[in-house]
Amino acid sequence: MTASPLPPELQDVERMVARMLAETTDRDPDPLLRSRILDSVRDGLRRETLRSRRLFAAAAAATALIVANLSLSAVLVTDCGPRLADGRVSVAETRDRIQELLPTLEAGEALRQARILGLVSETESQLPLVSAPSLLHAQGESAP
Amino acid sequence: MQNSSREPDFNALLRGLAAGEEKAFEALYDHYGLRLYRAALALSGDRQEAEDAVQDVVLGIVRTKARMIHVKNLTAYLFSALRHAVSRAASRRSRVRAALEVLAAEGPSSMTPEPDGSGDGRTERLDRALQALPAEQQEVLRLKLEAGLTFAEIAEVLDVNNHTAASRYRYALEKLRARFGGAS
Repeated sequence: MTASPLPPELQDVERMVARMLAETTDRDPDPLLRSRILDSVRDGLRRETLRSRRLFAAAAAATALIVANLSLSAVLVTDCGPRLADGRVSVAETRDRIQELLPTLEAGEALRQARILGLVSETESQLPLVSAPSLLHAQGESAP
Repeated sequence: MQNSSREPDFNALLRGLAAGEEKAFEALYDHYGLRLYRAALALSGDRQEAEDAVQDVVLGIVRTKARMIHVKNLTAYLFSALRHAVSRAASRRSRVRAALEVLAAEGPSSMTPEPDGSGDGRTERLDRALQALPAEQQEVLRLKLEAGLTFAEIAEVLDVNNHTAASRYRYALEKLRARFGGAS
């Protein structure tokens, strides 16, 4: 794509220079260059894939830790039902509340649900509150 | 080295490169490898540097493959990357040369290469004539005649407009004509 065509005398020079350049020896690369470059490409692609997988695994682990910690925090601040003076959940009162909320639920099932909530509440109170950064830190230290 | 003259489907090629498909890299090399090498050789004048520059360009795509999907003109992209690779190699070479000069100044050395006396008179005459051209004209001439780039591609690579690329080419030919006293 020329702005204007070359005059004939310059076309002659162009042909001559092109011919002389083409006659220059050693204009082709080492025949092994192709395989050398493509081998390096394969290695590079493999390394990139491994790196992406490691990054994904690390991100997934960090996300799981954060979600676990948030869930734990949510559970710890959730009150499961009426409590007795010693802090335990009153099963009878919880059963009554459940029945008030769901009059169609059978008495036996309401009692079962109240007992489950009581057990959950007692388990929660024994769980330590752990911060996400400390979990991540601990994970990092144990990594190879 | 193969150098497929059949134009590949550039969009498919770019997608393949972005996805990290080995076949796409093979197609890229088969289509551009020789032209890239010759352009690098033309710009650097050194076979090893030219090979390293081509390798740098291809491996650079591996590292930044996700970006390939946004490339509009693959040819211009490749030759532009090549120009940077050659320029980096030249700067490395000048550092090495400076270090060698320091070593040579410290004592006798057998590290200085001997002139090999190879090459016929015509080639040497052409080399001298090309070396006498201003760098920007020499660059355009070599990219056009050795790497086979169009003026549009040269313009993209050198970041100038088409008219400037064509003018530099024309000036270079005029100077060579004056030097050779007409084409033989």
